[in-house]
Amino acid sequence: MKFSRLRVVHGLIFFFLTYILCSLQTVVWYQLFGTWASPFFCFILFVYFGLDKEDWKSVIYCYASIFIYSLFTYSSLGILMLTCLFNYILLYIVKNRVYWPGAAYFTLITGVSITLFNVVYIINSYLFETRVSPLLIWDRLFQILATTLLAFYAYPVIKRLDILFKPEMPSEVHGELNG
Amino acid sequence: MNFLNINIKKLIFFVFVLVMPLITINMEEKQNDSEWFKQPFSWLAGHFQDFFYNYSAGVKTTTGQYLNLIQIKKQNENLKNQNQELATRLLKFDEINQENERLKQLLTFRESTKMDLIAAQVIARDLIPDHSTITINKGTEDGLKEGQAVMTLQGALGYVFKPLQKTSHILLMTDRYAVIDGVIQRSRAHGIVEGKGKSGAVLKYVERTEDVRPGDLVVTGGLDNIFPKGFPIAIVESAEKKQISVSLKVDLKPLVDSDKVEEVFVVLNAKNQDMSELVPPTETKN
Repeated sequence: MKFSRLRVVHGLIFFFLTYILCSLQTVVWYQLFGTWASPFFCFILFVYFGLDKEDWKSVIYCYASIFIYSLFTYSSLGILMLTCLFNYILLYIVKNRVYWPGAAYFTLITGVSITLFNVVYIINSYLFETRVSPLLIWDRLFQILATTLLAFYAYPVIKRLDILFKPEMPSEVHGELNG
Repeated sequence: MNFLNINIKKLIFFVFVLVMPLITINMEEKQNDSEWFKQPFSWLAGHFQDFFYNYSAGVKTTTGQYLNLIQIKKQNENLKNQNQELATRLLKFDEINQENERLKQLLTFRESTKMDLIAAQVIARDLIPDHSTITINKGTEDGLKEGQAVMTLQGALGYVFKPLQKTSHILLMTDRYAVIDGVIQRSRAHGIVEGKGKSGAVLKYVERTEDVRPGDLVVTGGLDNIFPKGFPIAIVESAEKKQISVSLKVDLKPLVDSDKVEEVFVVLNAKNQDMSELVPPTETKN
């Protein structure tokens, strides 16, 4: 398969994975735990892309994921985009200054990001919506803790998936040596 | 010397072979336990036998018990599995029974009204916790359209805001963006029911002069063309006259607990049904 095609396949896999995680959060969690606040499953993937991928890839994924989120909620696309882009900028700044690979770093950044997501969402709601978002402190607190905890276990799985479907650049030197 | 040419060794051997049983038989006949030299050997033999009997009996019992234990363990395992299976079946049975009861009620309700209704099941909820929306398993292919009312037997629940092919998103009346035309059933005071998150809803734009008391039933007004007229929405929790406001501050408690809803009805066509015929007027608590 051509390299460009592999890249598309890789992108599509993560695109569908976002769908799967959104469905897991809205349907499966609801069926199992009712209206109890759920961890933000798909946001973990958002943070992963923001931290681990090149800028252009992470920006494309960021927009794609916001679009997918908007399909599963009544929240407006604008508020979601503003909130997520703010988060993306934060991830960009942080990863360019402090970065070490591994689950601990990823968990730490996910914890900070999900907290900021909730804070920025409320601020945006106060600034741009006519009917402001309720605080729902316990729900948000649970979501922050659960998402952070989940991130630690999700990181190796996402990483493995990423490596599994990673498009390999065709090596010319290798070709020449074997040829 | 050997005139008869007989092999003496052979002869002795045969004699011995023939004589020995005779001697033994003779000894048997003469057997006497009281013979003093035999007694210690008999005692020893008896003890040996007893010891080995006890030992073998012990081994036999232990082996038997062990084998039995394995059997019991197996039986226990089987019984546990059976018990678990029965408990699961019982739970399932209870669940089916409850579902059956709910569906019966839905069917009775459906038969008692002339509206075109379609039953649906709640399958999901909103991705972001601050919005009160649910997703049902019926979509445009079942005839659902945007703006159609969604209700349960207890009262109004919300309305369809995003119908998809197989599923539809419902905006619950408790969401901050939900708006329903409402009327106080007793005094016919008109207002707009607006959601305020999980904590309930408020009735806005009710004139100060109107008679609103806690415990009053709020029903649908029918002006929004979403809900049939007279369908219960909520109960008045408190009604307050504020100094600077021209309207009353009325807090409502929705009749339907949206967290516990499993099956809903979508009104495909209200056919001008006036639900007040079916919903008897309630008495105010105060």
